[in-house]
Amino acid sequence: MSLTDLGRFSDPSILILASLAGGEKHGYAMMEDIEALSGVRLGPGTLYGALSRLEQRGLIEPVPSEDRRRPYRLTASGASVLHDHLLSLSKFTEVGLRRLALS
Amino acid sequence: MKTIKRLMLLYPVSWRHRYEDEFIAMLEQRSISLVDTFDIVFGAIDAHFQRIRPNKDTLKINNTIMIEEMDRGVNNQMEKFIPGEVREEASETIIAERRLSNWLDDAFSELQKNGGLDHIEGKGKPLDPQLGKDPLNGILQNAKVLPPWLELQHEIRDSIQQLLSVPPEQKNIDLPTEIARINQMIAKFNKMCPSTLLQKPLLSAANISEQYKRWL
Repeated sequence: MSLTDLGRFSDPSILILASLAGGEKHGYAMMEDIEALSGVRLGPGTLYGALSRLEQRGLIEPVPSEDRRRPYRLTASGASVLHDHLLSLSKFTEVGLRRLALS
Repeated sequence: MKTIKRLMLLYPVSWRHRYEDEFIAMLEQRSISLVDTFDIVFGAIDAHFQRIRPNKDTLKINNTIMIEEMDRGVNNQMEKFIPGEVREEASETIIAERRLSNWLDDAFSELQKNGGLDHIEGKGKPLDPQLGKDPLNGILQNAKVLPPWLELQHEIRDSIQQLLSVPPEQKNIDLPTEIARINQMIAKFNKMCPSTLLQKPLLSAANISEQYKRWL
């Protein structure tokens, strides 16, 4: 499974997966974390658009909680999708940097 | 807070049932900018699209469940339909349509296998444009008026005939110009004639006499 079929929501999805890789978080904490991590400020609608897709695909899951602010965590398949994605990004980064150094 | 409640009304009921509480709880923790408001509105539009367009994976799961349910009776299935909701792209509809098209395909291939298509009248014979059955042609014929496309056909025929009968060097006719003029008429004729079977190819310097026979 890859994240590319999420279309416009693939970028927010990666950010969310990366944020949850650091531990379970509710929506607001994710927004703060993502902003600190990447400088991207996700809108509430975008965040939940991506959240619901990720949940539907079984990449994240809600954590039972008494709090109204429901926390989410990464599932095993979510972790593996994120891992593959970051690995391909790092290969891409490596090649790109090498090309820049050559030119 | 009032704004948020109002914005929530834009979302589908199923979405609100699942996410509204936590969504509002999240919004209570931060001030909402104008950009956020737009983002929430777009989120609502997206949620509607997401609802009526289930992703492939859930469709697959639903597929088996639905087919089991459908086998228990279509009526049971119909009771689940919520009036007023868009069902065109709902998984039930897609599955029902897929099954229907399977039946049609089955019925058709069975007919073909049993030779149902072997004895159709006119099989293997050239198609007939059936001009006599066109009521307009009948009326025009009675009035002794040529339909415009036939008139043009005669005009083209005469032009080609003239081109063949008079050697160009005798009459100062520029052959390429004349062929282009006739080809324009042929193109017009092809658009006007009542059947594609009557359409004719364009002229070229090499095929004039050969093509002439088609216009007789």
